Amino acid sequence: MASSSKTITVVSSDGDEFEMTMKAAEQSKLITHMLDEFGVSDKVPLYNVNSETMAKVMEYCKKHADHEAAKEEDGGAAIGAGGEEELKKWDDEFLKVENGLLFNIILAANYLEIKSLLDSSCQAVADMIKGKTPEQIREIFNIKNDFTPEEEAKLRSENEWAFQED
Amino acid sequence: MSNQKKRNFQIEAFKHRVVMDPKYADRTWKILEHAIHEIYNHNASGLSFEELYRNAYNMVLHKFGEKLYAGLVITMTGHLRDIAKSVEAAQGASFLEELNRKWNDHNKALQMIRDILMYMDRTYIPSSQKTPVHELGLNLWRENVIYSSQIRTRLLSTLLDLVHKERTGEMIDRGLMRNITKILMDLGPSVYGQEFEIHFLQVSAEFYRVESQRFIECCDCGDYLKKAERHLNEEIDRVSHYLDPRSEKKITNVVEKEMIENHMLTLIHMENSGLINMLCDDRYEDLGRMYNLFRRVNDGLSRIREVMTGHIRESGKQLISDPEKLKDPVEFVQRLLDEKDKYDKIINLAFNNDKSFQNALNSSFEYFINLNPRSPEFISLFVDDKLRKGLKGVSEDDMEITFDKVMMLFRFLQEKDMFEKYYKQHLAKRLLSGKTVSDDAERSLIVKLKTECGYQFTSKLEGMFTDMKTSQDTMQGFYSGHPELADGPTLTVQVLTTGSWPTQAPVTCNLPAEMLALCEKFRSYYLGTHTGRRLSWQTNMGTADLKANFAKGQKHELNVSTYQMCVLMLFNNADRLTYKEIEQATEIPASDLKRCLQSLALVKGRNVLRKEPMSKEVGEDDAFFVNDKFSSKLYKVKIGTVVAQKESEPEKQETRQRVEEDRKPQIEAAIVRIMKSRKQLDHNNLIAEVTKQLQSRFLANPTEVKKRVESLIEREFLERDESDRKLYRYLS
Repeated sequence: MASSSKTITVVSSDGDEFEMTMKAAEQSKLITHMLDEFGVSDKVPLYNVNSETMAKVMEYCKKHADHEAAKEEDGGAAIGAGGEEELKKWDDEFLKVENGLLFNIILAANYLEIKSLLDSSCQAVADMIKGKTPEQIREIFNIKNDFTPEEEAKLRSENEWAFQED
Repeated sequence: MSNQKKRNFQIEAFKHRVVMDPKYADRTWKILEHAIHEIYNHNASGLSFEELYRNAYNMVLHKFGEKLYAGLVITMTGHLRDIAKSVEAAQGASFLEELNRKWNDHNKALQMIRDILMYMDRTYIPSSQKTPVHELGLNLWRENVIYSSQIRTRLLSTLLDLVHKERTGEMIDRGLMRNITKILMDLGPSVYGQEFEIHFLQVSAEFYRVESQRFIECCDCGDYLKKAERHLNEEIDRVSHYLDPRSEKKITNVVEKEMIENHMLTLIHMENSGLINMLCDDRYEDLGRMYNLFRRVNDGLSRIREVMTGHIRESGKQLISDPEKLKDPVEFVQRLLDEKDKYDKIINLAFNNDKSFQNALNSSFEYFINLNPRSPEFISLFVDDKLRKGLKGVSEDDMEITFDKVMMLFRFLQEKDMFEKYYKQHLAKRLLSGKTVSDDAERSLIVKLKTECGYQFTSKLEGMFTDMKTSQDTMQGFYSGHPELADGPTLTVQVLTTGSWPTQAPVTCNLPAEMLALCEKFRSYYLGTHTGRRLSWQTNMGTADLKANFAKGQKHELNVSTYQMCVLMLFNNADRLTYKEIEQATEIPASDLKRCLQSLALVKGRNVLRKEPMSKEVGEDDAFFVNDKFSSKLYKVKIGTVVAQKESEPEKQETRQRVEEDRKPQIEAAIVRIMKSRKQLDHNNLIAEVTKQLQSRFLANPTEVKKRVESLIEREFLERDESDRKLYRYLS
């Protein structure tokens, strides 16, 4: 399991290669499993993720790996409570991308089993939905309205409570 | 399109949508199916984990999880069916090896498949509540291989066959067995139980039934037990090597039942080698083995205990009813002690100091010791013998040990007051004749009796010791006050307090004149310092040392009893005396006198007198002479020591009567005590209470108690209730 080289290479679906440290790679459970099972020899293919998304994921993993290392080093003194807040802010900024990329990030996090990234990115989308009207949501996500007017009216009347402005 | 004020950038409509059409799903599945085949065919090296993982992931993500799962089941089942066929085809010994090999293959494949399908395991399976991949793999193996009709029975019979081979002495491949049973255990707790364990236990029971039958007919008890022990250990060893540890208790139960429980009584009562023989021959190893084996089964130990108890009681009964054995009391008691030692050792070495056995031993001893009414007397005689000479030169520790053992026997006695009476008699004789080995030894035993029975038991005994000491002081005082007596005969008097010493009937005896004067001087001296007391000489006890001159200048010092002294002194003034004359002169009671004369005239080496005629019996007209021809190698000749002997019939009766008499007031005291505190009590309860209170001294006879109650009623200590005749009331 322990390898002398501290970095590995992953390959995206577009064929681009990305280098990441072992620590960063450990953020992803899938990559960790593959390394455990098959060792670090060649490049690790991750053909479910395109280059654009891969770059973002790499960035995330690196950031979080560094954060963890810093925590271990000073026993948390260097980071402190403020450190966690800072990381959260970084995550928020990090996820301010266009929807397409954001959704790809979600899929990549799911595929690569990076729990924290999956949680934050889903949360970001959830925030987009929160407080919106159905029409607004349809606009944002380009969803076709497939209710007939009668169906829609029925649903609205049944769920009167949800439509009350406060 | 409305912009969110919160966001700074443009929100574009989502463009990328991956829709998996069914055809795509089929193609993806084909890839995975092919991979599974390759894995089972040992061709996995060419496969890319990432590709397969990704494909499975995509299928599940796009809601084709069910198709994936179903495909997995079918594919794996297919392979397992092939495996089953190849296992079925294996010949003879290679059957198990093939099964083991295929199991390892399957497990490896299963692990790889599970890795590839990990996403499905994590997401689709929990939500659809299907069986996870690993468990599925085990279940399918079970259904298709183990439960395959050909394999199922063949597997069981092969396993049982191998076990049987090993039991009959052949070597088998234990590692392989271990692997196979492990497969069954891995498939689930009930699989091992159903497919193997139940049958294993059945077959084993049958095997041991036959074996035990065979052994019982040809082996003796000790050998059989050895074999049973060996088989038990074998089975435990077998379990540790290739069976489920939880089978151990079950198989040992089988062996215990078949080999031990079913033959318990046969083994115990086996002729020439059974339990009783083992006990008699002190076969500690065999007994220990029997104990350890029998304690594993129900009632095993209680059977042993029963038979042992019966045997001890029987042999005890025989001991006490055998007239030969009863001739010598010391021997008798020694035999008892030896028996107790023997069984103590057996219980210690072979029966693990089991308390219940100890109790059984004690109760058996208590039972037969009390069957012999002379036991209290004999035990006292034993102690007497030890204190006279038996303990000479014995270390203090050994003495303590002997006394403790005697105390143990004492505890078994129900009639402790009988013992007390005899002990007092024997102690008196020891003290007065100065024949005790050591004062410390005497006192040590008294202390033990006091601890056991309380102060009252021993207060009189201690009084006896005090008297002896006081008498010494008195004698010193007497002689220092009368220096003129220093030239005359030396007198040693022991003054005995009447209550402490065994009662003696007063006897007549005329002391010779020389002695009489001296005695009177002592009497006045004593009464001078102790007014209000009365002294009476106990002439039936006591000794005298006489210097005698025989013919040819032979001089001897004779040690004789008081009676004998009186008789011999008469011959200072006469050469010939008839029995009648002697009787008149001394006034000694007839039977005592006759015995006395016999001991002086008829015992070889001590015949200082000559009797005419030389018959054994002493007749009224017999004549006695000093035996001038008397000779002895020793200067000092001892004649007629007062030894404690086992009582003659009439003496025995007398003692018993006295003891019975003494019991009456004790019973009455107990009745009064009880009634005073209870105020009223019915008859049965009264008897029970009285018996309990007197238990430590003797066993109260209900009839006697009833008589005492009647007597107390007559004397108006108690009254009967008018309406209920069985109810008594205390009258203050």
